[in-house]
Amino acid sequence: MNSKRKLLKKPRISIKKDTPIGLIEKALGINLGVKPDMKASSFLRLKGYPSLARMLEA
Amino acid sequence: MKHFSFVSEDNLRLNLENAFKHVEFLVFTLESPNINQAQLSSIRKTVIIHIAALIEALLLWKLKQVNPKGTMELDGQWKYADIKIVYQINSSKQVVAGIRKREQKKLDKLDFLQISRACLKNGIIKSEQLFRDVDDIRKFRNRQHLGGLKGLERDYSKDDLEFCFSVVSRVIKAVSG
Repeated sequence: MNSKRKLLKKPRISIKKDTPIGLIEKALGINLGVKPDMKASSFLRLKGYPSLARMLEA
Repeated sequence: MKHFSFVSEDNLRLNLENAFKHVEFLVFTLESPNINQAQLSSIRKTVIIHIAALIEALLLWKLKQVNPKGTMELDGQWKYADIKIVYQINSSKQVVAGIRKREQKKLDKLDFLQISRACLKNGIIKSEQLFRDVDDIRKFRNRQHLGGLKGLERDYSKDDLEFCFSVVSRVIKAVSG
């Protein structure tokens, strides 16, 4: 898949508190620089978004 | 997604969920080490504008729930009729008399500030602190109107985003109860 089509394609993922970062990286075509099995809410807390992490955990 | 499962209107609920999903994607994208640093502030501003839209929509939805007739009187809003000039002071000043009636405004026509004030008055927003925080989000949102800025646009920080998320989560708690 070329890069232009990659940008146009909507990510097919619903992010939950325990969604692995590796899955999010693949869906968004980005590299987040952490272990792929790190959970989404843990990542958000690490990066300074505790309120968003709590919303995922609710 | 369950953030907005309490919203009874199907289209609104879907719109809220899609907007929030987009916000989540933007936040994760912001945290990519490869992102262009010069774009960080602009992307954060985009997140803030989306969050402001979410908050405004949630508050309006709740206001409609507690005001089923779809209109309300706003403080200081009057409709004037039968105005008669009593005295002409000069070419741009007159003493007048007439009838004024409190204006019934349709809820769909309220702006963000009117919505948040009405929510405070109706007990949807229960604390002055939350009202002030919602108003700060409104002011952030209004900075999208570049013509109204007095100086250079400011940079938006991660703390700004965390503040916005804390406000939207408190608004969700306020309107879902």
